[in-house]
Amino acid sequence: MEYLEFRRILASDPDCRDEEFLRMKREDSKCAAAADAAACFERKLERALNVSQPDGLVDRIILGQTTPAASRRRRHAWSWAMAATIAVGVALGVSWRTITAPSDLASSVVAHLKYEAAALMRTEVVENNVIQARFAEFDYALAHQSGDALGAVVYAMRCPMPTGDGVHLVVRQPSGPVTVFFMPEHTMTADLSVDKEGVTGVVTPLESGSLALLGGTSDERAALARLLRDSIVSRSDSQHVASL
Amino acid sequence: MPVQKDMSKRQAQFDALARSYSTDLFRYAVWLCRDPALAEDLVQETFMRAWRAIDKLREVKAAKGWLITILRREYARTFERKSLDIVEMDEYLLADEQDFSPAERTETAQLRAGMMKLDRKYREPLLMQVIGGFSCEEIADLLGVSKSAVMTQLFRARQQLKARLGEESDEVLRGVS
Repeated sequence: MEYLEFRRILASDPDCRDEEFLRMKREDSKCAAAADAAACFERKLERALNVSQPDGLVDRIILGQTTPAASRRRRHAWSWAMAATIAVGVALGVSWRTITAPSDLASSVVAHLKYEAAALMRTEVVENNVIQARFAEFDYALAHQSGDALGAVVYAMRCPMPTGDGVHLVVRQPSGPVTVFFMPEHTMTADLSVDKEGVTGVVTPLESGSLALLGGTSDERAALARLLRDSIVSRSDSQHVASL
Repeated sequence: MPVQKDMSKRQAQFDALARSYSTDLFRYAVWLCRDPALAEDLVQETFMRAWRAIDKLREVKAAKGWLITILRREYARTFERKSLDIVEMDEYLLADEQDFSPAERTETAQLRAGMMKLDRKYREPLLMQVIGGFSCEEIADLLGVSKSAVMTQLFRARQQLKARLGEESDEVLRGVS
């Protein structure tokens, strides 16, 4: 068996028990590396497919076996009514993405904040050039040294966001830390309020991408949003302006 | 009395089936019809049909394949023509993500979005393999196609999902498949 054949089998049947396949996986370093990468992908795939079954489904199945069909069919009617409602939404130009995205986005940013809750406790101020470097990774810059104007930025990291990577900042404000997510690849058209699991905030559109601001007071978030909206510029634009 | 004994044996067998396979069947149904509410109905109808035909189930190890076959027939019969590609999946999908890191959440969301868009001919063999645990030969039997067709479909399904993650694609192998 050649390497390409090994890869073909690996991508279609990762648990193949063929002896020759297993021998190559064991003895050939290139095959072993490909098998490791495939195993990693399979774990991600299993995780993605692993949705919870609704509470009480088994009980309903067992109960349903002794219940007249009419009572079971009520859910169908409800489902089709819901489907019809959504279909009307689609006919009116509302896509699946716009129906589902807001709660998904709010949940994602809140979960991200909680996952990196330790960042909220930081006190050491991050240098402006580090903040600029984070934005530069996405070909953006903070204009007019607004890294300083932001106040005490105590955390600045590149992080995965719901749609592509972005910049995660924590900015100390009088009322406490405000978490800022700059999501260059997430476009939206209107503000989204966030109020989940004790976290309040807003996700707001930018000319390019969007900005989530969580924690602090609404005035602090609004002031930071104004400042960042004016300051975040594409590097090509900022270089063009500087050269004039 | 013998009739009652038979009934309680059938009932015990049915309960065991429901407890053992409802989770996998629900997952399969969710990704087949891409709608959690319809998936639940589909699973309930599948088990109702399984109850009526439970005497036909001869081997325990064939139970999962048998249930999936019933589910697929029920889907084709009842839902396929009515089902919409538009659903509200959030509450089901996000429920499992409490302990995910941001990177895991992003990857999971990308893969789920990829699954939602994957053509059924690629999606179903993948579900059978990953959720059902079936071999390529068993999938070929269940789908009524050749093993080599199944392998090609599985290869392409993974290729499309890997592309979603920006992982190294197996593009170079396309010609081989």
